[in-house]
Amino acid sequence: MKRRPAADVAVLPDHAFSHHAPIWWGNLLMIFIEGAAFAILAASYFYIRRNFDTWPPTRTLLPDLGISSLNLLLLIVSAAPFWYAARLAHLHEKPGRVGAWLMLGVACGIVAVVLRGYEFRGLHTRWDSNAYGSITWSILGVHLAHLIAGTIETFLIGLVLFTGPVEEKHYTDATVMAVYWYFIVVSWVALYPIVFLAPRFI
Amino acid sequence: MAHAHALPAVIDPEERPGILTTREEDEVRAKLSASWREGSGLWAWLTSTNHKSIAKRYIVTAIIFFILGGIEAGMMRAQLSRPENRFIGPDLYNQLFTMHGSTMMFLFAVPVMEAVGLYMIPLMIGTRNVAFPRLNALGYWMYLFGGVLLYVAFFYNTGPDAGWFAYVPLAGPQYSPGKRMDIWAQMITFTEIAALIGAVEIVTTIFKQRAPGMSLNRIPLFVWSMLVTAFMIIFALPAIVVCSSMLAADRLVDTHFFNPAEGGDALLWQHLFWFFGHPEVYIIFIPGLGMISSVVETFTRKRIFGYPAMILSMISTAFLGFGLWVHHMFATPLPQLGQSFFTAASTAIAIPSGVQIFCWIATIWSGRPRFTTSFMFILGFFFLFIIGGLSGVMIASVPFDLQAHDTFFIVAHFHYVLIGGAVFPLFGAFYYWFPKMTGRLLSERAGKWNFWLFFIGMNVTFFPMHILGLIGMPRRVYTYLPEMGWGDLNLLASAGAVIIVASVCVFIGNVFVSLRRGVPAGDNPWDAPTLEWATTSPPPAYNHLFIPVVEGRDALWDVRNGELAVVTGLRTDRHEGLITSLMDAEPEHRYEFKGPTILPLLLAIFGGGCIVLAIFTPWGVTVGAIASLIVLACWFWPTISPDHDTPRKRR
Repeated sequence: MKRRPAADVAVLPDHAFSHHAPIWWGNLLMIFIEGAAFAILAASYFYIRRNFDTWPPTRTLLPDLGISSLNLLLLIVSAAPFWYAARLAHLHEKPGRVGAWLMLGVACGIVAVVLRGYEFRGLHTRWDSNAYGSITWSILGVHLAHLIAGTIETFLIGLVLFTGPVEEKHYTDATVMAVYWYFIVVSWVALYPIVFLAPRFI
Repeated sequence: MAHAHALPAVIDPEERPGILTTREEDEVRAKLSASWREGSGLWAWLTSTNHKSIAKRYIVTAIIFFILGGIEAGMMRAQLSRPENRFIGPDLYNQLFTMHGSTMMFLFAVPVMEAVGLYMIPLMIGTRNVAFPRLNALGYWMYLFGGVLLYVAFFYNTGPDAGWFAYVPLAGPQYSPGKRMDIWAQMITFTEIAALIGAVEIVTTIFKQRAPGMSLNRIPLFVWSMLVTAFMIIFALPAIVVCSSMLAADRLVDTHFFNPAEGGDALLWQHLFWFFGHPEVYIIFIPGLGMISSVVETFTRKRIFGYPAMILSMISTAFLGFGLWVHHMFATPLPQLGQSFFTAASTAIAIPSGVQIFCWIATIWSGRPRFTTSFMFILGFFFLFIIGGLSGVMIASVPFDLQAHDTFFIVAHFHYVLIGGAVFPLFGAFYYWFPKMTGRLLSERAGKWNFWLFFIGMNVTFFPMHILGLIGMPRRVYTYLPEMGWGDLNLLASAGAVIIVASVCVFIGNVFVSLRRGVPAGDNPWDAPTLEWATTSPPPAYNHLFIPVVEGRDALWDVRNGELAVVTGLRTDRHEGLITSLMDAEPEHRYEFKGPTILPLLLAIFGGGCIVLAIFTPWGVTVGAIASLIVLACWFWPTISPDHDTPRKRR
């Protein structure tokens, strides 16, 4: 078949932000997958609840609110450096500046991971004590895996921005990373009340 | 962000009426061939990130598993062919039906559908590769390793034996000691990772890489069907990832998710498994719908009747598919309201399926059908799927289901649905697209034998099972007494299995002979309307010489004056593609696809090693995670490309 040129795309840029970029979609779909997994865990929590007379089970203390609430606040605040790093990336600021704000996010992530260790202790149960222990440890643990993965990823992107060679697409990566971190934060805003507050009411 | 919306220079036909000369085309072809050249040899094979190379091995691997699963089925039919047969003992029989189900669902049906999608979609929407080529390679390796794990274990007498849906407490630590069910749970982990990767690839590629002009209402129906399927995978598979991990944890680190003594719940497994397991049926079936539409449209030379109705039906099937899972659990103590709801939903899903069948009938009725093998398999689908659909409406009703539950009636029902609804369209698609993939046509004569043997064999095997189930034969028994009176029908069913084996042998022979001596196909042997037929057969590594511009729903039938409108200006010295907008497919920016690399294989080895080690010790997860992390760091680490563009500050 003969071919007739109908459009010349040489003038188009070779990178883009937000929903114009394939990686933004890849990240969003990843969030759908993991969000669905969190939803399944939450549903399992309430399903298992029906097998117990009291919740938490007898002779188990209520989960501690102190450190867990602190960690929740920290996570909410940690969205700010990510938001600012993404903004700087959109504005094509110097890579080092974007990287510095990402590293502040990494610091938040590390503190959150450490605090998570105390949160486990504050559950006053073990994964092998009973089904209550199994599901609460799972919710904390799966979210912890996200925290660790997100922190390491952010660290790597930040490191690339510091050391280079930096390309346009690394700015897109920084903004997409921020979206993923928002997901980590928002999912905990949804899961925290289930693990730490719900036992006080249901 | 104005630059992201900059429109490309549209070439005014008045200004440049000329078409591309052969010399101009040859120049581009030479450059693209050089930059997309795939080396030969083992290293090139291990490092390939081209969607066609990967999808081809996906398809071949899936067909090998199909044959293995078929051999297992054949052994079961041999054992059941007469009462009190001593061919296979109960332990091996349990492994066989578990292996057969797990293989066909996780290692054949879902992967083969995704693989056909991963091969065809970039060609059909006019792009050069899938969105994330390295991730795509990783998906294949994970799938392969999961399948190999299952079969190595099986050959060492450690094949899973609690059924493909692994109900607890049977699959739990108390009643299944040993490693058999751990192997099953980790095989699931492997294949789910692979399926989810495939789904992410498919959605992103379809959303962002369609040729200019291919707005949502011009996407070929097969591509639509894969899009809907991919979304179902994204929302259904997390359920089984969670529950198979819970099962593995119960078995390995003494959690109590499914242990009633400590507040766990066996029904939780059933809910989670079927919340995945029922959509799974549609994940297998919906790609088949797309294949049918492609074949029907081409072989009737008629535009599909009711294109919007088709898409809406697929989407509503997908939504309803998430509201049916409890109909697998009618024999458990459920609230009456729940039973009624799920009966209603199960019956309702017949409506979108019916709409589509009527649309196809209308297309065939008004067109001029050509009865090729491909088209015959689609006609076979109508017959088989309607029988399977009708028995489905029967068992949607709770009182009937309580009688038929766990009998051969169910076995008959789902084999009619799955073989009729998925395997027949798949064979139709295979005869349809084989020339595109290989450059040669499959023999039509052997194809007709293939079809008729399969069609007859399938009915002879599975129809008697309806009756066997109604007269009380339970599924998953390794033998039965002569007094039960099930012998004759079982013998008939086993004879049918022999016919199916003959049919598959004809198919394999046809493939091998046609690969060498088949009639050369040319670019478009069927005069089909979709873009994959605009390039050579087999397609070059870069798919289309120029990205086409789509001017109608049936891209090639709607070409004006026999001149294909194309996009120019993409770089030919690197793997470059065009990103377009989600709704209207307007060009947005250029995009570089990643080239060959060994990293996906390494990641699969370390990540897979982590999953396998986790069968034996929880520390396997830690070790594997650290090794995988190192590979991932290499994966994301920037390479110095000679032409990298340093970002400049823009305010």
